[in-house]
Amino acid sequence: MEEDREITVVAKTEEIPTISEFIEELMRTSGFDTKEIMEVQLAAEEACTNIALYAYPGRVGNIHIKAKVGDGLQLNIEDDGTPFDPTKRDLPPTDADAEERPIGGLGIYLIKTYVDDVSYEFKEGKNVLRLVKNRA
Amino acid sequence: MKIIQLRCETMEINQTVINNIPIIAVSGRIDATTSKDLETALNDLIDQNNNKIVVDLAGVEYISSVGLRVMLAALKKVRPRQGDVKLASLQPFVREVFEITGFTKLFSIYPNQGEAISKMA
Repeated sequence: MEEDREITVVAKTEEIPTISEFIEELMRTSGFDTKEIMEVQLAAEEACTNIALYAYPGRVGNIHIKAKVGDGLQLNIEDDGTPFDPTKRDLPPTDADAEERPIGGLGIYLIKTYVDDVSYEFKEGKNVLRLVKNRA
Repeated sequence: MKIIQLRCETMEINQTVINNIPIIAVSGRIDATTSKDLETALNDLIDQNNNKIVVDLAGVEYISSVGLRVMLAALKKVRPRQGDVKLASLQPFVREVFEITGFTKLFSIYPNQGEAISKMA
């Protein structure tokens, strides 16, 4: 049985718990296990933190998440901030010494690790990041 | 009415001192919101010239890149002063995040608080 849900929050890191709860409730009722839920929460947090920090310089904006659960989970994370494709960002070196490692840059790497598919499009003035998590 | 217990609890920090080493014991989730409190706790200790710190993560079930960055920033501050930030008791998911990002190579990680303290020079 497919289930669709949506949520809109202000693009602030303070809203991360709201997004995490939205994902938890949807995935828990859809039969995903705790680890799968945390993996998707982490991927969503990384994406939404990026939006909160960089998408709306000097102004307030929103993050809109559309979730669809069927055979797997599909999350469309949308914002109408500065056009930006996070999937194009280079993956950070993981062997660098502490002194060489820049602070940050891990978000997209964690997203790609913890969901099964990541895609981006700029559509109708919105950045749309699509995350897919298949059932185990 | 269907009630679902949500697991997105907030974060708690408890601080103690053992053998003159400050211990920060964290529980809950270290995310983009809660990591600010961890950052404050670490910075307060470092500002008071505590360069050898143990962070006990036994109660932490979830960490995001912001949390990793907070701990790395603390490590970068104390290393030039011959200090260290040692980590203890990583839960499986947290350890996995550390491994995937290569952070296990940056930190000394111990199975429990006692070992972390004993290894602090």
